Amino acid sequence: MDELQLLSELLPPAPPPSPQVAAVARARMTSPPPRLRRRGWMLATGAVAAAAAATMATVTLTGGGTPPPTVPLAVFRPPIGAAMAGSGGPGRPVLLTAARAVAQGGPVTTGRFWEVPAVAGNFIPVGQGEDHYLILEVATNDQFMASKPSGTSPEVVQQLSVQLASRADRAAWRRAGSPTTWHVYQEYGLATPQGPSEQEERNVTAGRDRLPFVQASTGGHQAFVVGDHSWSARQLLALPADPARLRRLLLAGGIAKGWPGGTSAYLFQTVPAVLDMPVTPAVSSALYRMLAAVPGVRSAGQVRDVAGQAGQAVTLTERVAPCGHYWFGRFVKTGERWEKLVLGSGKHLRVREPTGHTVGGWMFSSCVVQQRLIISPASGLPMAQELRYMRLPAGRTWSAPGGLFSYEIFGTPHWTSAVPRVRLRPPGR
Amino acid sequence: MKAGLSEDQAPVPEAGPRAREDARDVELSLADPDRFGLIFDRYFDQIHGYVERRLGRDAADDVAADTFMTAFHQRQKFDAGRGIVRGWLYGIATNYIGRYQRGEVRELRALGRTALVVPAEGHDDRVADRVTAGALHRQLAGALAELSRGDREVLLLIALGELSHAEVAAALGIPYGTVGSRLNRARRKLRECLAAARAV
Repeated sequence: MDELQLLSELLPPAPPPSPQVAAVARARMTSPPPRLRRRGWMLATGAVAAAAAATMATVTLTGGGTPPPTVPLAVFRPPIGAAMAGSGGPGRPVLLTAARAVAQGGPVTTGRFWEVPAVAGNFIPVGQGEDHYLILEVATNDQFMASKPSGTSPEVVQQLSVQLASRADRAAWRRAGSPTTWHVYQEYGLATPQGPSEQEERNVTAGRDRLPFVQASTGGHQAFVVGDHSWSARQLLALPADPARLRRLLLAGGIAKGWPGGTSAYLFQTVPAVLDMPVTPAVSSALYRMLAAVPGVRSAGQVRDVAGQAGQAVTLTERVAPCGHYWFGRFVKTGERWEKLVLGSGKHLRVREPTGHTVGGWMFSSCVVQQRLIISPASGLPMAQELRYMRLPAGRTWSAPGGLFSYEIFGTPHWTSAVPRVRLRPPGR
Repeated sequence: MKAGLSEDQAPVPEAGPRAREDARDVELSLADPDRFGLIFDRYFDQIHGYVERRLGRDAADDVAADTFMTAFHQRQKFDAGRGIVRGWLYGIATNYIGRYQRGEVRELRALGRTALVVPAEGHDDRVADRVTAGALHRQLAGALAELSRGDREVLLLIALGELSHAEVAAALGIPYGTVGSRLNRARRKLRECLAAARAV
């Protein structure tokens, strides 16, 4: 009897799955993919608009007798990106102050779901050819993380608004025929040299896509996801209150290698996510002290977030190449012919022909990106996170204020027993 | 381990009629998403079966569903010039199996330590064979657990999934030649281990 035959006996053939299992899997196939990330902001928001009715059936354009569509202009009251006081110093004093503040917290309690309420804003480049413009999509990004191993952990996303980022963007939008629906390819997670790992193709519709939907979710045994780690509530309580050990723990698994901006950028992004989880005050304090030792962290002084709340900010600025919004075009069939529809421009154009039907590239060959963490003066916890372009390649522009391209504003994380009552997003949206 | 999209991928495998039909269905599903249902119907049971043999039924339900969901959402990344749909699907499944790898290895090690109950088949003359086989299975499980992940994936895709070398290359994003060398190494290790067991 040879080893392959023995192997087949050791792991014997299985009976086919039940029809129910197959039916559930088939229905799930076309639902939105789960998102491993736990933060609603993206460096790699790839987006391509299809403003041409001939190419995308879903696009709605101004009709003859219908009133002209409107998309509001984004209004930014605070001077986005401007520091009010005390900018430019090292980040360490700010973080050590926060470390002292969170150390005063009470004992960790428990409940059914740990809820981290958040509102995320993403600037998405849309438009055809060189005539790009930016829309700002604002959506809730409420995470409910189950404490019971058997519980599921829904993530509730509800679009709040779609706006045009600036007057210049509004002009370009009008030139494009004032569409109110855009077909976008959206990449999640920070861009890595290997490219983004998760992708969603969807429509963004101004003023209509208001149905909340629930992302597929992980069970309570791994509800708290940070980078490539997932912990249960119980495991979180066992985290060591030691900066060096926490650092090793977060970096174990190796995801930080190859992260744009490297280990520092990875820690700068993931530590705030852990701070928003039910960890002990001692662990929170140790996390801030760990961040204080990360090279390159600077103070931006007192700033306001997009909602106008004031807090102390620390920043980390890194060069990223290739950079920004990974986008796709596609081969489309017009009549009997396949045509290459390039919906945007990028320096690293990659074309797969003749069998593949995607073209894609990066918006920018390189750029300098700043991550900003704004700390609540009241709680010492993260209040907002922002990503902004500090420098683009020569000749490229970005029309959002202060180079901002993604932000998230957090509410107070808390335990709740309320199950979010929302409907699943209808398929195909 | 990347699924099916590696740049240094092997020579383009020769596509049979089924492979061409699969590729065409994936291509057409870009404009007509429902068409991907054909791929699901063709391969869901197969992928589920493969995963169940390795990880058990519960994990198989999840992994097989995740595999098709990922495949559906990444279907525009599938490149028919360089891959085979079946191999591509197994590659995605392999990535998901990786998340369970520690559990799988632990279980194989446990199998290697405990006596295995071989299901009776009613042929008395084969009982002796089965008793021997039980001991061999234990050895085999232990040996399988000790293989490197890359070698184990190649071995199991061929032994359980019955994939061709070209499909395995596409699934794991490794050169064609590497499939053969990994397979040979894995088989040699298992044989050595079994020979030692038989000698006892």
